[in-house]
Amino acid sequence: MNPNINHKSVIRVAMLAGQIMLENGAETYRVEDTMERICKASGITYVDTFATPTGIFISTRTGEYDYSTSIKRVRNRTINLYKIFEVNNISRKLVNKDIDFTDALKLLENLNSEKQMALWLLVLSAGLCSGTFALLFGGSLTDGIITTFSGALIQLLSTFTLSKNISYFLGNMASGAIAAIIGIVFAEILNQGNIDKIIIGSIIPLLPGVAITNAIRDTIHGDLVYGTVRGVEALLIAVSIAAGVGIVFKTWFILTGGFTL
Amino acid sequence: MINQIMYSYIATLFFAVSTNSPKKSIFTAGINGTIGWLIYSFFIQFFHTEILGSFVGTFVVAILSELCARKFKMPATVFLTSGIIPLVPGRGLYYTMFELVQNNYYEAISMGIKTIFISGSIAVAIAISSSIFKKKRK
Repeated sequence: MNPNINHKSVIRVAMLAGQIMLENGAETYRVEDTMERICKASGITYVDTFATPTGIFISTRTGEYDYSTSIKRVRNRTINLYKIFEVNNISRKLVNKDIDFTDALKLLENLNSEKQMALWLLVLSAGLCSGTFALLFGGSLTDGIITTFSGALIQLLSTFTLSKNISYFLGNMASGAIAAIIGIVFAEILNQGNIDKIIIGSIIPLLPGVAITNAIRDTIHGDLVYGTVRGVEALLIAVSIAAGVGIVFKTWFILTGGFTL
Repeated sequence: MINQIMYSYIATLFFAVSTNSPKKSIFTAGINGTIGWLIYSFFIQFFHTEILGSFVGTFVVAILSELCARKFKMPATVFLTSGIIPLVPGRGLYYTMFELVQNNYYEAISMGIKTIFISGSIAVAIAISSSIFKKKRK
């Protein structure tokens, strides 16, 4: 091992890199792989890493018996592909010896404290994404405008539930319910637009595309436990959205006796 | 046709923005989404099969994502998550629920099974392409 590098600081850099990746929605095999590369770049020959969607373990050995192990519990998870990409970049630079470990730690800490992204941009892009999907699925311009509005509102809600640490099951259910309420208010009460286009467009960005993708990619890389966990997560998200829509629909159905479609 | 290309491109683009994809990847991700959607629409139009359409569409998107990942030196997920978003079965989920609350259990079940199969075909398509491009673990 290179004597100029402090063993503990290597673990700290690797841990922080792993934590940022996992918190922002990377596949677990990528997390393990990145941490291992970072440790190997410092010259540590024995490294073992273990990542689950809710925590990371890393263990290294230098010399004969000098083990170091560190555990990090990961509680918050969002999707931020930019941060995954940046950590990937930093680790690549580190392995190529373009930067040293002190620089890497500084870069990672800056990245970690970086804000998600401007709220207005997030809300606007999610809204426009929903609105365009309503058009793509054959909706009229009215559908598109209503769906843009409801998609933005749903994004605002899910940002709020995330920041208040409300469980994502409840958050998704509320989002589904809002989509259904907006659909009913506009299409059934005000007679504007089509209820199906509005609701489908609104819920598309919430659907567990990332969870499904990660579940499969983890499974293919031999990480069956994480694959299963992510799969269950994907199923739960889909069920909670459907439940939110269903509760509102059923209430409306009981109140009025049916849809006018 | 022009509308479909435009809408699927813009929708995927905005989804990529809302997941905070790296700036360089956003426009490529949009193209991925459009290609996936066009393949899916082609299969529905000519063969009337949503399940096969989802499968082939996702498979092409997944292969393109892996190639883009190597070209741009970014994780493949960056392109993949946005690229498959037009194919995710939101319609199926909605109509299953819609039939269910009206006590049309027969339609609900047939719609629900279709939705599960579409999700499954997306999953299998990603699985195959990931296996092809799987990196060897050291």
